[in-house]
Amino acid sequence: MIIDCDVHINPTSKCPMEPFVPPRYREAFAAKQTSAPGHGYANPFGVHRRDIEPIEDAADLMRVHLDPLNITYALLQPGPTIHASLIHAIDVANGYAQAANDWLIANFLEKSPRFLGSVAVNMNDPAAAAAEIRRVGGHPQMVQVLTNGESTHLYGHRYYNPIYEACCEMGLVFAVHPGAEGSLNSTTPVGRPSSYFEWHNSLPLNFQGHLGSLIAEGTFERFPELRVLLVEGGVSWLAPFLWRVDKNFKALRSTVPWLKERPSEYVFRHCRMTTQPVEEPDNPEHLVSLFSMIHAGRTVCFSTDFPHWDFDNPARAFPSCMPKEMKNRILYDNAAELFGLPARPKVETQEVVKQ
Amino acid sequence: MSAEPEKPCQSLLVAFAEAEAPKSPKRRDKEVAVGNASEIPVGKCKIVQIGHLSIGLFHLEEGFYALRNDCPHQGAELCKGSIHGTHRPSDVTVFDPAYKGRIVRCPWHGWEFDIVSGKGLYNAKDRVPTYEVRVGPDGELTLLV
Repeated sequence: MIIDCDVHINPTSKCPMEPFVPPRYREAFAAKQTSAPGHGYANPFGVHRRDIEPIEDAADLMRVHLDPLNITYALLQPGPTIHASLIHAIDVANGYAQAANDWLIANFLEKSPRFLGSVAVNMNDPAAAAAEIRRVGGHPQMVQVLTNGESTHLYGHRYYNPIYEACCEMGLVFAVHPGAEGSLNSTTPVGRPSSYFEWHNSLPLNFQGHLGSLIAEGTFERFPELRVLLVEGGVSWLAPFLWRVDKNFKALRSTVPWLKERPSEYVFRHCRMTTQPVEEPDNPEHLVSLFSMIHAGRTVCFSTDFPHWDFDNPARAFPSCMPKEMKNRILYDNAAELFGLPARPKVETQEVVKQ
Repeated sequence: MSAEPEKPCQSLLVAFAEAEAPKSPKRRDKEVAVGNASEIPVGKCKIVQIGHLSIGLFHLEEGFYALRNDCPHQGAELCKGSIHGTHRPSDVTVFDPAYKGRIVRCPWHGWEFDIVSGKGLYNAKDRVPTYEVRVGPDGELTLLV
């Protein structure tokens, strides 16, 4: 059994978003007040897989992706949801988030219980974001609140506390997915990359910034129920990053006195990472070692990034030297536990152990 | 909908509980004269060598205390570090100053130790041995090692 934690969908002519735009924002939408900055790094070869037709609706997604790969649940990370917070006009962005949520529910969540939803919010209006989380977050298939890694503040900033409070109240994970990094700030603190290649390589820096901020600002102390999912931000950097943070903590704890345990302990308890694009070291055992260092058997969740160019095939993404139990927990159990989904049937678990 | 987070271990609370209720130094019988109290102003430390042992004598507001001059991390001369206060574990955004003049910060990596209890204030387990210091009627300092 597989839970795919990163599946992208977008409005199409068969399932357009326009009918879901709240009436008071329709004129603003028509006047293109939904404009937003872009990061400016185009993949010269496109970002969509060339071996499949564009996905037009839920039925296409089921037929092309979920069924052939035996994916039990797909966590949908809609394009509009990832980008909503980049829209310059704050009120229009709020309306855009509402439209994205109602569009997602009608076109996907209500078509199959195998689709798991992401609540769109405008991070630049935390009060409105919290209200939107409470408006749609009770849908039984909504499992997370989603935004991208580009933001006005690092995500540990108290400005965002109303959003985390609403996530905890509604039992939703807070998820970060790349897509707009570079739109407001450089993706590296030193200067702007020169190519899409360089831009893509630098995405984990952004995730490290947000994670370091969530730790140091005491977000997990303030919100003990908060769970964070870092999607497509890389996994293999986490162990050395946490070693550094834990070591610095020994000298600098008194500057962040609200932290009552080692930073890595907060991360392993509160954060989960998705695999794609899985790192592929020359020696595959090195990947397994790195995964072991961050307790991947409980912290890492599988994802494909369907239908994008750097897709991971669940049957081939992990090296054969990865222990079966770790692999099965990554493919299903960790996400099932994070999102409160049914456990793998016992029979399958036993078979796995026997192997 | 999301699963219950695992229970935190809160190791810093353990460390500060030990500093709050410091145990007496281990009982030792050998008495060594190590000078006079007048040599060490409040807030200062004098390092003495007794055989293979290097020990820091600290004059705090609370009295005289002694710590082994050896950081458990990489063996720096801990007692040559600067003397500070710290912040107690607190609610988010709150700074709660504590132990003013009672914390030595290792000169190599800045790890904090409570001079009175010898406890490392960064995890539940690390500590530095402490020694009893007796002050005689004319300020004579005697170290028990």
